Amino acid sequence: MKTVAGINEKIKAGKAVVVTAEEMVDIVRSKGAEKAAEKVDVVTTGTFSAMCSSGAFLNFGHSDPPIRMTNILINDVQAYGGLAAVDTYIGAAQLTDKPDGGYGGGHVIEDLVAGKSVALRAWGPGTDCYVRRSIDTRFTLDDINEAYLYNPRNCYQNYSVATNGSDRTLHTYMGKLLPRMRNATFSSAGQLSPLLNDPHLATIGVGTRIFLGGGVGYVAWNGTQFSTAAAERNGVPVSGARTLALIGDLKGMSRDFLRGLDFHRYGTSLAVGVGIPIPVLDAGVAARAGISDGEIYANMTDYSLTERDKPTLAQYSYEELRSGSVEYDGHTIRTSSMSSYKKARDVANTLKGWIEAKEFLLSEPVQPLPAENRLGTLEVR
Amino acid sequence: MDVKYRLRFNEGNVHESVAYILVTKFDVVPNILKADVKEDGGVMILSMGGDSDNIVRAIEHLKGLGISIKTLDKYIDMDPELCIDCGACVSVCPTKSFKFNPETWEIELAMETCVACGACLTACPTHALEIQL
Repeated sequence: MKTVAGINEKIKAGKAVVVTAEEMVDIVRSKGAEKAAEKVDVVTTGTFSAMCSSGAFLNFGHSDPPIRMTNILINDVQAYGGLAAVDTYIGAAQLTDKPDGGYGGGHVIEDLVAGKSVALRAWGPGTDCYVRRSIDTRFTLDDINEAYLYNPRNCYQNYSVATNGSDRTLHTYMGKLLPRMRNATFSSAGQLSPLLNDPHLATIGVGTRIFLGGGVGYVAWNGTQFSTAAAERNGVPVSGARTLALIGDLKGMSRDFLRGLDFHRYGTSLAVGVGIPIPVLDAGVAARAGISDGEIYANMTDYSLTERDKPTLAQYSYEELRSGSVEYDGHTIRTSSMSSYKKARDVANTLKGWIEAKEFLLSEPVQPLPAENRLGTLEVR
Repeated sequence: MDVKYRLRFNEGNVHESVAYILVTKFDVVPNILKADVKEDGGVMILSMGGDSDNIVRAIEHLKGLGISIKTLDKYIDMDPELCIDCGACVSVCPTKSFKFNPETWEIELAMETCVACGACLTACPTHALEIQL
């Protein structure tokens, strides 16, 4: 059995064999998992999709005289004012205060990594130690002390396919859903997706070094709504299951892999590029990382139903979903992806390039993520 | 695929029955794809099928009525700087004009089948699509 330390030695020597999860499909198919595990050292994964539970911690530095900011607007998007004087958190889903809408926290983050100057307006109570009561200025990412992305829930292991059984068009975070099930949308990189290639997190845990938004990041914790209870097919969950909380330095990231999104009549989000390297320690890891779109399934549900638990209408493989249409109850439903497979490939290939160039070493988790966790619900009492 | 035209009407010619004129006077088959015409003017997108000489004569006639006519070869502008190739536009397009390139997984837009309906505009989360009318 290989070790992470041993693989790192091979990376440093420029001898590691690194393939993307897409390339791994054919390798496992043609050589078998045992041989694949001997040949391949690292499988790189990738995803690029809306991840609404994302945001950034910022520290502006102190003005003269200083202010304790309690109300903060960045490009007219509200940031959290409940931290110490000039610390804040800007969430991707926070909408602009401007009536036109279409812009939010995700766009502020994109503008910052693109090097743009953004407007900062803030107010405070004025205290003996922080006498200033308001400030109106501009800043860039380079101007501020710290800026790090901290995303409480990214990389959903799998996700529902959304359709609309009602008579009117729905505008949702899963995109535009046409009436009478004329279309369905899905959001996963499938065979390239990080957590579908290591479904029980044998190699991924707290402290795992990853590709995040074009820079280097780490797995900080399990993501919120982390669940191990989802039904599985071919060893992978068929609905939302495990998630990751991720952290990384925004100053090292790029607009290529962080994009503000605006879903019509829903709100804003941030498309995040995430890639996780999987050390191929044994044949089991190799077999799981060799899974293909034809073997990964997702449940379709009707988004016009307003209750929390929506019944499953059908189950489709990502191969079927990517074909452009699926059959349901005797008629054809056209399918659209909401996550970019092209960008997911770019993530996996970029990470592969970093490892091959000896610029990125693998890390062992410092703590495993929960082996068992069920989702709770909010009861109205 | 028939060529598409944008007709712009004003207060003075908004009452003209374009489809009737095309069929009865020029033996041209019009297909109205989109119309936003009110009492003080507006815009209509239509394609014309039939003999090309007849279409040329029909266009001259309509111009004589003061209707401004522009041949449309591009209706939707896709900004490659903004597009992330997610695919949100693909299944909402009634003419299946957006497709993934099966090799690169980039989105490709076929202008010849696009009818400028605008269904894709509100589907795009990066505002990468703009209608050119």
